[in-house]
Amino acid sequence: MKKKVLITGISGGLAHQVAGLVPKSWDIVGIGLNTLRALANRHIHFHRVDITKSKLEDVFRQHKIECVIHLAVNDNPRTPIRKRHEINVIGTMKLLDDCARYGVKKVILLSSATVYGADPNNPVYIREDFPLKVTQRYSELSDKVEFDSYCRSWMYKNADVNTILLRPCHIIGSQVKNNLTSYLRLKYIPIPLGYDPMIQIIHETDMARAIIACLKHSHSGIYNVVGPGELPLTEIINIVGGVPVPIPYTVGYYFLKTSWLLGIGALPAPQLEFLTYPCVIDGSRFRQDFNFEPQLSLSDTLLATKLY
Amino acid sequence: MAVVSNNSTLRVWDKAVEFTIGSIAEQTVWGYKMITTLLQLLGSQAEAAVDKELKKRLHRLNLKLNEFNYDAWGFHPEIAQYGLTLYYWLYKYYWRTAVYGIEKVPQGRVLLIANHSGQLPIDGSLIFIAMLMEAEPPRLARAMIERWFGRTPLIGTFAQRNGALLGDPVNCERLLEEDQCVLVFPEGAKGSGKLWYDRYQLMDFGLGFMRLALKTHTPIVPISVIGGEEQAPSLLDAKPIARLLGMPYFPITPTFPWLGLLGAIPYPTKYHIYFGDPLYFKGDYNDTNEEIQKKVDVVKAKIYKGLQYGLAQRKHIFW
Repeated sequence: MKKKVLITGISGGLAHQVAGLVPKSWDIVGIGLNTLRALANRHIHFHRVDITKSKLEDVFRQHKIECVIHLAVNDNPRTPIRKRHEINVIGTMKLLDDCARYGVKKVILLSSATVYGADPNNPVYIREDFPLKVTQRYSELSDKVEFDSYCRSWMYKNADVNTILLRPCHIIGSQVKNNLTSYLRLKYIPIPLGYDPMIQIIHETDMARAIIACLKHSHSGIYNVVGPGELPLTEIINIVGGVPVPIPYTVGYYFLKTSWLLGIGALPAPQLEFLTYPCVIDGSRFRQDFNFEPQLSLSDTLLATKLY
Repeated sequence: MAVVSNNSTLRVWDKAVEFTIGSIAEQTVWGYKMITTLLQLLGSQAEAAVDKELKKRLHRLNLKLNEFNYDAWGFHPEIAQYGLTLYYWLYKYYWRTAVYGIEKVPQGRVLLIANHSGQLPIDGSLIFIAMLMEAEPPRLARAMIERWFGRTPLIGTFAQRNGALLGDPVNCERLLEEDQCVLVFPEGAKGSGKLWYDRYQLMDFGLGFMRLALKTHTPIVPISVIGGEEQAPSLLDAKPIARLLGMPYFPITPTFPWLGLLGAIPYPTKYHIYFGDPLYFKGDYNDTNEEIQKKVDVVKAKIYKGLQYGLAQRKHIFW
């Protein structure tokens, strides 16, 4: 009998890519809320289950799950914090609880490098032991920090489970909709006047490969994941072909705040921090331990944002 | 970053911006064309103005560049060459910098420790140019700069593109492990902002550089810089104004702020930069502050000796 891997949030773009790359020696069990996009050459045992509900346990009762890849994370800043906390923190607690109870051997969790926060005092390369400072300037992201902290404490409590917590840089792709890709898809791109931080990007296919690499190796721990490298914001805008509109920081902040409240804003105002100050992470540990090398170059990764 | 708005909101945004900015841009299309042509013309002129020698030496630097020619720390030789050409010109003709003993700087990882002076961090840029233009082979001296730069628009980005970095121990350690050359002013803003009354006196040195040198087994080259104190003699540090502007200090000099920004232009003193013999320290980097202080005092004494020697040798402030 084949080993079974459970992928949560299977309807998402990244999860879809991951499912397509899972080796044939694994059976895929997927849970999600939206309709599953079928894979050409793979069967997925799909269950329409909300991870915040106790029905989740039925999946573990029905299948002997060996590995869990947890990708059911809500990152939409338009979702109220109460709901995001329910999904990202409470849902994860429930899931990890079941993992411990049903003897899951490997858990792969997806956090994000945003938890470090963008700050003028950040060192150029942030290692995994750096404090999670994002809430100092952007309290709305407290659910992400709580998610990360809970996963860490669970990892130490269940040392016999092979747990990997990934903190990737900005994920970019033709299917990906997040703050950075929405921002880069604008025609007129507001940039903070006089600031030009280095920004790291990784293509969604490379990210899916990174997750598959976790499936193959048995190191436990927290890992930063970076793509082919970093580029200044203005250079990125030139490559994707937008028209940069420099705006003084304070003006831009209130401009974004107002437009966000009116519902036409491209991103919430505190996200401006990530376009102003550096949050550059060091992904060398992951590259070494998991023998991971991104396949797409910087320009290929960036051009993928335009093909949607 | 997180999942956000669908395409229709993007379209609304673009329409809104187009309405406000786009209409102005279209009305002033002639003005816009003139400006771009002018910029292109300037660009081609700037390309020709780049110092040939400097360009050659930038190519000889052992840099790891990505496909867009940025190095991992944000340095870009083709962007930096314009600013550096200007600095090289100032180095040669404005401050007429004389460099002594630069051949003593060892290959591989090295910490350059210098005295800080002159209100504006000109001394850092001159040492940078000296290491690039006079050292053989050319070296990129990464300056560890004040946290204030990172918060300041334009200046911070300019410094980063030209090879400077936020003065954080994590950055410094990583650079040394990569066998790079790092320039540190352990006096920090206390040194550069000191008053005319204290000229050529050394302020307290931070201990961090010595711990890093011990940890990474890095030789230290003491550097004495002469000429910086006279370039902008500060008679008074207006602390309330500095606090108001978020600056480390606000000097009152004979010309600044009386002549406005013109008064902030440093005077054309002659600079003398003395490189000392490399110092090799051994010991535990987790030692007590007292033990580390003893080693720091050795470096401080060398720099002080260099200053005394240089001042005795100097015939005039301006030539």
